[in-house]
Amino acid sequence: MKIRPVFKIFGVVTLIGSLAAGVYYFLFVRSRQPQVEMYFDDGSMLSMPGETEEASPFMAVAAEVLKNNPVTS
Amino acid sequence: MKQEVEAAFEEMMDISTDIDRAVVFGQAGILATNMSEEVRKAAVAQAQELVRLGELRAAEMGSQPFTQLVVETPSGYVFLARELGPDGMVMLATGKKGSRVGLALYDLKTCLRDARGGALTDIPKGRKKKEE
Repeated sequence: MKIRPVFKIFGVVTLIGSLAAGVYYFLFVRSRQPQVEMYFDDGSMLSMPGETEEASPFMAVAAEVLKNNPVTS
Repeated sequence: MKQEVEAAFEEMMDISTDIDRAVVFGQAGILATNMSEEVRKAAVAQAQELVRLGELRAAEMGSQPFTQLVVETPSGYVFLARELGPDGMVMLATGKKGSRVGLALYDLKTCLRDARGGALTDIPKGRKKKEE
């Protein structure tokens, strides 16, 4: 069975479009998970996932800060 | 002192594309900010609360005092940098989603250092004043 050239072009364009959308999503849209990072005087660092018990008080205060000062830029 | 802080703050806001709103304060109160009048006091109280929480966490871990803090939320970032010591300044800042954390913290630290009257630092490669 012969495929019409117009369908071939449509298929190729669709494939390229899907790949481009996937790359765009991966690079720009996909957001990182909420988290808290602390940096200490000796150069060490601690990362706490946002949903953990230790991180929740920090997340609550940060949410208040951003509520009062919505990011505009 | 306040003039130096304001100059350093202004320079930071000119350079940084990641920082949106910020406040610098110390023992004497607010030293520089671009936050609206109504939310300034609340921002200082929230920064003090973050410092308290951070110190508590550091004490629980038996680690060195913390100097910087980043909270990443679905609606943006909150950054905090502080000088250690009783007369140390604290800076609280907000940033949009996708902010470059390393650069934002660098800008906060540089601002605090310049505010202290430290040696003026060159703008690193790739950092230039925002276009008006």
